[in-house]
Amino acid sequence: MGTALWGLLGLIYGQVIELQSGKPRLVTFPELGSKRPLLWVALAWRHPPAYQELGRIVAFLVAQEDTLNPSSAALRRQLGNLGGHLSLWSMPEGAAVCLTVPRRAAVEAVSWLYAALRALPLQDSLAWQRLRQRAAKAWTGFALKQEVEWLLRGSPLLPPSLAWPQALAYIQRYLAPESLYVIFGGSLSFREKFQIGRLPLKIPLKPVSDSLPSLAVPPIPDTLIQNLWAYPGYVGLLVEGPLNWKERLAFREAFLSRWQREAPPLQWSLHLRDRTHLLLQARLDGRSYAFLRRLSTLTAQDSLEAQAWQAAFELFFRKVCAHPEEYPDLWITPVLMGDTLRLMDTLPAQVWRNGWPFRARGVWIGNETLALDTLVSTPPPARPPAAAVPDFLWTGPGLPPLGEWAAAFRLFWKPPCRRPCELSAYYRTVRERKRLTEYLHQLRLELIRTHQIPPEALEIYLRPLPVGFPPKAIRFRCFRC
Amino acid sequence: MFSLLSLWAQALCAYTQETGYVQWLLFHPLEHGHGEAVARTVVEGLFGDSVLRQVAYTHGVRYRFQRRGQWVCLEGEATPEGLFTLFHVLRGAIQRFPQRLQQNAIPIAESPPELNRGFQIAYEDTLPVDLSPLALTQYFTRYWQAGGVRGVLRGKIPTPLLHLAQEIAAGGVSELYWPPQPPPALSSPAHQGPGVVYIRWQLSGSPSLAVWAALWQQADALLHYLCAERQIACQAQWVPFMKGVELWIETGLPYATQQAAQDFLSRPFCPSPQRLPAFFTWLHRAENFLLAGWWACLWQIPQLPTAIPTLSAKELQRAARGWQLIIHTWNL
Repeated sequence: MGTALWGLLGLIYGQVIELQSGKPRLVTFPELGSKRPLLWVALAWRHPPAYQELGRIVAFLVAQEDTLNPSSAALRRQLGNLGGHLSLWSMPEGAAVCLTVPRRAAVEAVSWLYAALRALPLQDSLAWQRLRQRAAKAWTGFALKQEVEWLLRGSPLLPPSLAWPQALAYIQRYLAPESLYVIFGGSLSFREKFQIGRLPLKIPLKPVSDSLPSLAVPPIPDTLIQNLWAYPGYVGLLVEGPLNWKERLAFREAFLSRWQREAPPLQWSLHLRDRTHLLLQARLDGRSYAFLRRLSTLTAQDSLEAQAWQAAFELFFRKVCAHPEEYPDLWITPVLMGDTLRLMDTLPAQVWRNGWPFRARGVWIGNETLALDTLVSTPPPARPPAAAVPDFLWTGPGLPPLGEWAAAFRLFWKPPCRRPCELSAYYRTVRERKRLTEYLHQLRLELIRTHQIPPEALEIYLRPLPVGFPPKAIRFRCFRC
Repeated sequence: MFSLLSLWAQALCAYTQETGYVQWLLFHPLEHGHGEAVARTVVEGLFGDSVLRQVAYTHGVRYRFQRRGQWVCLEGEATPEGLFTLFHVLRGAIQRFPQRLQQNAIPIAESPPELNRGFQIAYEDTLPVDLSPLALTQYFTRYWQAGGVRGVLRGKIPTPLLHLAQEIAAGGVSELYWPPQPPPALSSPAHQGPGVVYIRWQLSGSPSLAVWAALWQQADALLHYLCAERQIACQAQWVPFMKGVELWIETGLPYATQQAAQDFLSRPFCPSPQRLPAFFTWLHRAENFLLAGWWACLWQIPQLPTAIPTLSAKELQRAARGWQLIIHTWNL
């Protein structure tokens, strides 16, 4: 049985999920094709947000990171001979073990992942102890980053008593074969699917429900912390993004483009997080810090910026499709959350003009040197908002709001402007034309005399009534100079 | 299927692959490793041209200046359309540069200390250099006008882009492109503290895919040994050159790292065909995408393999006899 969720128009991408009885679900992205030299394969599972760190340690276990264990060392040697490159992923949505292998080794890669699952210890062992210590050591030297993660999640990174029974309960609850996904960054042939379907995977894991204590994750407060060691500044923020996946990528690129242009940070990382958020962590100077504090909307200020954002988005889209292994957030998160990933390589220009609100909350770490930073003492000159091009339609009753039209005109009009604005009316029959022409002339005179619009800036047009257009409409419209 | 036929053995190497975007590199050597400040000033001045900056911004072209060993690299990524526009405008910027220099419109560039310090110390390139307009003009003329710059493209490369890139990397001043000498060693042994361990594989014969595969196995095994087994150094930069490759390993324990590297490299080495899939994966991974193209270009390897190479154990062992090793250490 398969559930096909793909788009057939142009460059819309979607995943295909195929169910296998008693085995992980196979997820492919057919539009990524099957002709690349390498194939990215991820074994992924869901878990609640509070178990992100535990998921990371379990991913170490699955990935056979404990090379002091002879069977793990043998599996890693086997992976090396396969030509596989291993990476791990753990986020609040779930965790994954990812392989990048030569294209022809797709079936062998899945076979290796199944062998790694079969080799999971189901009793307390030294492997677990070693990996737990290793996970704690991984934060050595990154105390600030650890503290920020802790504050963002509202709980310590590692549960206070992380004993083996809890890890076993996690494995039994979330790593049962039917709960797993095997995600491919491309498509598979029928032969490969058939061979994968025949690979053995019998693990004595009984699905267990509710044996793990539920750790509630409180909402993230917006916190400002003074910290001398954070010079110059450090932020860990959850940024609210658009709801659909294609606009999320556009939002990401628009934000990075604006940020790099106006106040580039010293270091940054940006990850997609759940359905709506992006996790931003950055080291900043004073100017960049002030930029993030001030930013409230992300809208292209002119066509140049819109074009730059579109170009950045196109480049990012092509990179994401060429090297899916570099962007596991994008390919794994929607699968785990049950969303259909639909992407397009271009977006309508209106998307950039409409823009998005920018709301970021989380942990802001700075100190008084940020205020002394000479880069922030004179804030950059605010760019004047681009005046909207007047385009008004009046359908009555009564007189049109000439004052409002004139105000919009004065804001917009900058001589020398070659093309005058139009005052238009629409006729249905020839007999209406004379009356409408006189009416338009009256309105024009009123605008010139009372509202001081230059005569050369306004012309009158009479047009046939288009289908579906209101009959008594008067239109005032200007054009970009 | 991928067609990886390239234009090579000239000033421009192009490795075509259906990725949808293209990574690009313009590079040239520094004579005796000196003059990074001049190179940086000229490149940043060139790319500070307002038209070029505007085009790079509106067409989403990413670029950065980097020094790698004796090489000065200007690398980036873009869509083919964006890169075509950028190279088109770059031609104009090259023509405008002398006039901008005359009008004092070129600021002196600052070198980010943490990135290039190891290279500067290794080549004794830390002394102030002449940044007068005359020096900048001579440098600019030699590399950017007389065709001293070479290029590498990897990814989606339409024919118009290829032709335009050939005009930028025109090929000339070939006397600059000799295998560089290793950096001069410091007389005193390294003490503890941040340092660099330099390992150089110097080929005695001609480069080939078999030599590349064998050399990579040894170097990769060394890096795994230092990082995973000994846990003393995990950051390294590959810097290929015409008859070999250098590995610049950053470490906080330079003496211990040097000893460990010497121990490892003195063991008998036997390359295995079983590691060829790992080599193939390394060639095509995103983080080595441009590096692999650059390496192949410098070694004049016309194609990057589209499938796992079929090399026998004997071929690899014969290839592994064809290099010498040099190890140096410096403190930062």
